Amino acid sequence: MGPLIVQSDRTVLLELDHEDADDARRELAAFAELERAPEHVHTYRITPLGLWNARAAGLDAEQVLDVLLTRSRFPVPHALLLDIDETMSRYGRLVLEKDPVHGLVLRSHDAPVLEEIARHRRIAPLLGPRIDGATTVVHASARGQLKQLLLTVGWPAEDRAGYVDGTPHPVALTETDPVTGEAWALRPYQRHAVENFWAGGSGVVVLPCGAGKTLVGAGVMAASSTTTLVLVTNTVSARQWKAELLRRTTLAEDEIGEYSGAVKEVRPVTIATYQVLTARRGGIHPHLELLDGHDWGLIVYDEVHLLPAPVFRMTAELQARRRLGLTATLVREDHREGEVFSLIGPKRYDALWREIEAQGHIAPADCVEVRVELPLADRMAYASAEDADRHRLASSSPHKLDVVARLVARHRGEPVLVIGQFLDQLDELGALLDAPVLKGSTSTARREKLFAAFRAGELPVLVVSKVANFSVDLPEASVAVQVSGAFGSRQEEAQRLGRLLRPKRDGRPATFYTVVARDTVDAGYAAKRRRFLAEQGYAYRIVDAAAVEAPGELPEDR
Amino acid sequence: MLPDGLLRDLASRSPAELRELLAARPDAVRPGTASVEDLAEALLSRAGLRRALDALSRPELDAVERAVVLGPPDGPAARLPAGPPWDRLHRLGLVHRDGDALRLVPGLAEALGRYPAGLGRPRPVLAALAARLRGDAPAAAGPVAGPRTAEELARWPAPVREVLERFRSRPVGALPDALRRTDPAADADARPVDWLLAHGVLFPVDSRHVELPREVGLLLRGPDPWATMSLEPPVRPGARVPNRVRDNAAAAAVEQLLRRTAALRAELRARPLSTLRAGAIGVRELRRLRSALGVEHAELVRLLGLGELAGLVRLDPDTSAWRPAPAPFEDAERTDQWWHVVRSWLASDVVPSAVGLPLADGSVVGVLTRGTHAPEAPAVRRALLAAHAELAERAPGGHGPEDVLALARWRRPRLARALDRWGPGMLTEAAELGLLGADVLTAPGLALAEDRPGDAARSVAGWLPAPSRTVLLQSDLTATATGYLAPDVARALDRLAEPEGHGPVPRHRFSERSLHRALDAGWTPPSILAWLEEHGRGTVPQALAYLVEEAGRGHGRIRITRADWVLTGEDELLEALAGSPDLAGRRLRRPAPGVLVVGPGEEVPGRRRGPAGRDGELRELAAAVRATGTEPALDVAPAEPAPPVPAADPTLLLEVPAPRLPVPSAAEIQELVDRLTGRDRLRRPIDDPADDPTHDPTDNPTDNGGAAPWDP
Repeated sequence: MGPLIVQSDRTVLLELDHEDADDARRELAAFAELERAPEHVHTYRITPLGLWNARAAGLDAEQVLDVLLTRSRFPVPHALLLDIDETMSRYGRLVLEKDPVHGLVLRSHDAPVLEEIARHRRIAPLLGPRIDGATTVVHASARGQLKQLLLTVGWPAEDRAGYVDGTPHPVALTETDPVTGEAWALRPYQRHAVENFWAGGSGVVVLPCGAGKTLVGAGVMAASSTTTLVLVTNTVSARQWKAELLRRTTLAEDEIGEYSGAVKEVRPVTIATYQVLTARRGGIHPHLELLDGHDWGLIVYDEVHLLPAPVFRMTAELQARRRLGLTATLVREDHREGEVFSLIGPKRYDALWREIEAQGHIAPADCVEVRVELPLADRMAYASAEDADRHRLASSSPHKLDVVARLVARHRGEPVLVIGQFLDQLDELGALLDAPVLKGSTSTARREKLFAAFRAGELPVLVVSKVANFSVDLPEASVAVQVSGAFGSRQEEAQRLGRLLRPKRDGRPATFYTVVARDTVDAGYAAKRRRFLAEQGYAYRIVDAAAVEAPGELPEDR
Repeated sequence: MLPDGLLRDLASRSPAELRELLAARPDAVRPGTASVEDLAEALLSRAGLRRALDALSRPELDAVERAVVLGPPDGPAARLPAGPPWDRLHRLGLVHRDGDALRLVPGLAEALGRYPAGLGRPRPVLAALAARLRGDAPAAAGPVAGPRTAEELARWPAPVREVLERFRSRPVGALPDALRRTDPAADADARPVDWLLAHGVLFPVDSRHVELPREVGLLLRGPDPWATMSLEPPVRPGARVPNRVRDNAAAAAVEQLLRRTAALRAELRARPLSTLRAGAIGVRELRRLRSALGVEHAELVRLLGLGELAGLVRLDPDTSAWRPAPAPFEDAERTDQWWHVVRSWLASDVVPSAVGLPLADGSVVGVLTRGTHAPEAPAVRRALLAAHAELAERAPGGHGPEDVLALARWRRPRLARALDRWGPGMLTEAAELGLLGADVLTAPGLALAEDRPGDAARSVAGWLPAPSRTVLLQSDLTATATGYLAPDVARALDRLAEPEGHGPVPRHRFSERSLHRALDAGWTPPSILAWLEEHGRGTVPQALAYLVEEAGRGHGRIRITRADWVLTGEDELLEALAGSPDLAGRRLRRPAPGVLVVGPGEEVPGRRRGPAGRDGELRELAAAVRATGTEPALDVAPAEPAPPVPAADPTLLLEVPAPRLPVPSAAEIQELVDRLTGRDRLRRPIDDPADDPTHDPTDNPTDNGGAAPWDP
């Protein structure tokens, strides 16, 4: 009676209350992707990419089948076992290698596979002459494109062709944090991630929000000790990377350059935004040469799940450079996980969330949905409104303001973020709570000033619009109140929560409130959010606005 | 006229030998049989002889065919007559002792069919037939110029020999205008067929077919085509398959079969499967079922076929739609469910996997049509299981269809055609029934091959754990069973939540919609919470309990009643609804406070009305109410008591198709033996060696008989 249940739709359920659950989870996570992690039963999914990631990590089909047969409570569909075996055997039958005479070559000991590939309409133009039965020359510039195509035809190639060295540039980690003066070191899982990545070559490290992905990046830079290009999502994030690198590495201010819309510095370590790289002028990408015009020894892709398509295309040309992808999730809304696999590389490290949480590195969060009853007049207005107006009517109901004020009052003394979508509503809230409002029109300078004040504890409450959603670092925020906003994407929600998940010194749980107008579209968004949060393993409760008014604890599970 | 030798032979058999004979020739066990003469008559019936021939293995059939085609073996006694074939043929009553000699029983040659060993009829027969067909005098049958020796044949022109090669294994070939007049001077190189017809080597048998005479066929195959036949059954070594892999595969298959069968019945109960006018099932209907059940096309057609042969789904003649049979299959113990399906499978003519096989007219076998019916099916299934059992003993390990069919063909050569056509599909069916796992015979499969049904059911019972009555409730509003769920619990859960995914354990997701649907069906918030507390393991998540109560609070604020759409409820809400843009274009009436009647929408040219008719209208209406922020209560379905209790007796399962050929019991055989040996008043234990102390059953008749006179 094992803890796993293998369903015929290729999902695997893990029962957490089982005594062998921890062992089974460790074994399962090596080849299946975690999809949902609510409190009792986690759902993993077996996909070809997951199986190939496992192969890249050195696992073979027999080990995978053994895990399923040994740990499964019920018999496993035989067809699934056969399919796993077949799928895993496809990885690595084709190998990209450097040949001393011919340069980049594609090798296979399986002649029919090589033959099939060589005849493929789209792959054939990328291949050069056949050297012998098992080897074909590959045009050096086609390395990335070939890997992409091979993945789509189901024969993922193992890339053993190595990397260019890049320009050496000494980088080391500091031993004390110059800001706090405290000694620090990489946490065990961060060190493990750096080691796994370095051993594997290129690839992706998956760590939950708040687990210190930047530090893994710094660790890899120290291991590489070459010039490095770091690609990030936006300017705020670029500045945070720079600040973090100054604290954690021996790099000095003038060794780190920012390459963004505002500044164009190229230094030994250059931090560029995706946006500036993909900017087009007159049909060309004027900043593209940043990528291949310099002899980078390492390229770091932050938030690889948000990597825009043009950067993928450029990355296809950069296969000779070592690439590190950092992300909290391999799931992409656009389903381009395969391109991450073939162009950045296989998954090299995947932290088990709960374990990091258990070690106290990320804070648990408590999610509460507060339902506000609209008075009859408002409901009538809502009921007879056009569809287009209903979202606004529900989201920006003035009856929410009072509830938000009471929630903020419940957490007096703690840093509180209030998040909303409608600017009028945010302004009203700012006035009601006597807190500054941060919107898209706020200048970067003021934004950083407000963040700094908030971080320092001088500012207890900050009202922010959607712009604050991306990569802001507010380490001390322990309460967030979402007053309006559609359920965007899973990433958006992960970001929002990630902000609250920063470790807190006293170990208090973070709290995430969503204020919802009952019986409106608001409730629909809330249902999606609820599902997402519960699946991420957060505790989730629903209460009436009246419960917030009363002092004391909010209702618990029955 | 019965040969005396046969009667003497039968009369001299010991009770043990008679029992063996009757067990092997069950159709000879007739209630009226009282004497050896009666028994001989029964044994010589044409159907009985054919059935006995069908049971022969390759060397046994070869021995009979050789004797029929070549006459008595006059060569060295070491060849055919020596060895096991003759023992068994004697035990089966297909040859009888006549003094020191052996004879084929009368009628056996005819029972072999027109083309024994795939050879044509003798030349004189064909020549006479051809003359009659052409309207010639028998004498003008053409020159009898067929080759006399293989050497002569080898000297014939190559094109002619190429044509003859095609007749090596089949004596009949198709030829347009076969009755045409041919010129003996025809050019053998240019028109080899005409040349063969003209020279009396091929004979027309009707206007479109020609036949090669037996004599020429034998020349093609050499003087004694049977000389090279192997007496050893083809047994290839098996692939290594660990027991746990075998049992895992079979146990997963059994669980899946029962789960999918129940799901199929549930789906057909909700939406019967309509047939096309010609009787087959349309592509669209199949696609719907496929996505509802989450199965592949081939899996679906086998599932439907198994449902048909087990009587679990049947065609309703009034509506021409397939519906689930009323028997409470789902409430039976799962082992009984399995046994019912397997027993039906063994006995049924229906071959579910036959769908898609080509038919003679160029079409293919359709789903749930007559084309899936094959009278040989039960015999073929038995032959496949027997072959697997033999392989399991002689070469343990995994054996793919090729290995199994090779051995089955050798064991039952008369079934070869049927084996080739149905065998591969039937092996897949056997795997889906858990009789094979990873190409290896499983314990229940072996038990069935050895006719121990009780053991088979016991082995399967070990694979099917007892049903559980609890689910894990989580705050993502899912209920996950951690095992097979008791049918009544599963039914209640289906009411309360939406099923999700496919696999051995059911998963459900609660939503406000699903809870309202349950409330529509007569549940109440307290009954739902009580059910959750009884069947949920651990605490009921706060969010779920909240939603149940919330649904109860909001339920019925607005009701929809089926009376050409009457909406009743709080007046203010109805007022708001009447002003809602979603109902724009509809005729609205407010006949009374708290009641809103919705009429049909105006026809807008160019805009299609919803395809779903009234149901579609209802959905649109409910969406409009929901858009105003109030979840409507639907009063249109009749309320049902909750939770429903199984009323029918689960032991009342369906009937299994009667076996095509009834098998007499051991008692019936014994009774007959007693009658024949005059012992019916003096019964002894069946296997008493004192029956005949002098008899040695392995006694080889050729040892004392030598070369024998033959009577083909």
